[in-house]
Order: sequence, then C-alpha cells, then structure tokens
Amino acid sequence: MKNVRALIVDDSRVMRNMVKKSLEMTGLADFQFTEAEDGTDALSKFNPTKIDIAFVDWNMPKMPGIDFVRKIRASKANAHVKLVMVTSERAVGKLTEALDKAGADAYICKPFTVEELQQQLGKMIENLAGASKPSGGGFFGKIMGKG
Amino acid sequence: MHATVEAPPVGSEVPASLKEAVWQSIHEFCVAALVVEPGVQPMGGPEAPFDGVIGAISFVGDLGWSVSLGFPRDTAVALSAKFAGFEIEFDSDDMGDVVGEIVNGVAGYIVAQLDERGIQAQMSIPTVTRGHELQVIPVNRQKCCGRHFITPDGPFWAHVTVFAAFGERGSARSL
Repeated sequence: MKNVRALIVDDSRVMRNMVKKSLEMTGLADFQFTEAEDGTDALSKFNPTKIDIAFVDWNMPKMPGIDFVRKIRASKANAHVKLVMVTSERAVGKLTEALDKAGADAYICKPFTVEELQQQLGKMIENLAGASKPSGGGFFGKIMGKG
Repeated sequence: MHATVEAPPVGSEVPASLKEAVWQSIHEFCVAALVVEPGVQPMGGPEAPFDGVIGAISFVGDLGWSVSLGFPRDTAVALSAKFAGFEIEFDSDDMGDVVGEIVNGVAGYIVAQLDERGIQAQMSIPTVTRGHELQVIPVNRQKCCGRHFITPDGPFWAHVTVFAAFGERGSARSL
C-alpha cells in the first residue's frame, strides 16, 4: 500500500481524529498524519516536500481553510500537493469557490462516510506524485536487493 | 450559568421559510450524521432551564439570525458518542468540540437550503455553552421560535432567533 503523508487542518480536535480514523478505514493508503488547528498553523507546518495531500476545514479562527488553499495554490512549487476541502459548507457557491477559484482538488461535505471518502479519493491517491510506494517486500525483497 | 430573567414568548414572526429550512436541516443532519430520525413536537412555551450544553451559530446575509441547539446532559453524551464514534465525557473539552461540530453541520445544511431558495446566509464559527439551568433568552425585540426534538437517545431542542425585525433591513427580500 502506498505511503501517503497527509496534513489534517481543522480547529476541532475531535474532527481531526474522525478524519484520520476515516482515512485509515478507507484502506487507500498507509497514512502518516500531521495536524494543524487553523490555516495559520497549517501554513507554518506545510512543506511541499513532506506533504502529499491536505484535508482542510473551511470555517476556522485566525485563517479560514479557503484562504490556506489560495495561499498554497499561489506557488507552483506546491502544485503536486492535493488539497481536499472537508467542510460542513455545502452550498453550491462554496463548491465553486473552492474548486474553480481557490484551486482545491476535491470537496467533501461533513458528515461523510468512509465509502464517500473511498469514492472521492481513490483515484487521487492512486495518482499522487509525491507519495512513496512501500519498500521492496520483506525477506525475499532484501535478498533480491530491493529492500 | 443561572437563568435570571423571564423567558420570552415563542413562535412569533420568524419567517416561515426560515423555520422550515432550519427544521428540515436538523432532521437531515440527524439522519446523516447521527443515524437518528428525530420526532418533533412544537414548543408549548418557553424552554425550562436545564443542565446541559447549548451550541449556537449566527448567520448574516439577507437577515441577521441565529440557531441554537440545546442538549440536556444525557442527550449530549449519547449523541456526541454517535457523532464522534467514541465516548466523550460531558465535562471534557471534547464535548464542546463535538457540540460545536454538530451545530456547524446543521448550519451547513441550513445555508444550502436557503441558497436553493435564493436566500443569502453566511455562517459564523459556533459557540458552545455548558452549565446548569441554561436557557436561551432573546432580548431587544428579537423574534424567536423553537421546536422540541425527540430521539431514542433523549430530547433536544432548537431555537431560531431573528436579530433584526423582518423588513427593517433595507435589502431584506421577501421570504
């Protein structure tokens, strides 16, 4: 399974845990998580060489998630990092703002199910540019010089 | 927190389409997030002070208004566990977190519902209050209405409070 480094951005500790747990339950990847409490915190922790995908809430203190998305997308160096809004905002205008204007790659409405995550994220995670494949397998892999 | 003033009259002059959007949104959220189909009953009078937690969120746009959800202690514990997928102690910070997320989730449905009806609304970040003898008390000519919801996990209620009397805002459109 692919190793994916994910940044979870939400001011709710409970919601961050729910997102992490749900992602693990999808079975789409082996996730390593970094957490941030708001957009400002996320910016300070963001590193395009160490993050493959970010899951971003919208309404947060200090800096809303949509502003974080805009700032990340402002640099071409971050183009390979996938940005997924995970938010209770479900009006059509918000989707448009996030996907068409701010540069988010996907939009997941809370509450969500594991199946919805699998459906929305399956292809995206499969095609992640920065994520690493697992190291060459086990005993035989090492013998063959692939471990 | 202790109630010190009389509760206001309920059921007065909150626009019908706003009420409908709120009640429907609460129902949809409960089904989707809590796997609960709440029964309803109208509020016969002001909500009695209770021990529990209230989550509130404000909206601006075509109207200024707010929604508050009140959960008695046992209901809060039961529904928060359903939402989060694990037990949450009533007195913990996580309880405030979850109730905030619940009211935030309901607000998302409300904004989408109003958006479909051509009504602009922008939600705030929620606030959560926990304590004894809690009561929502609208003041200064605010219009309000409420509804009791019944679930297998206990009752909760919702209040809709309009800050500006309908028609006082220059750009208010007919609801």
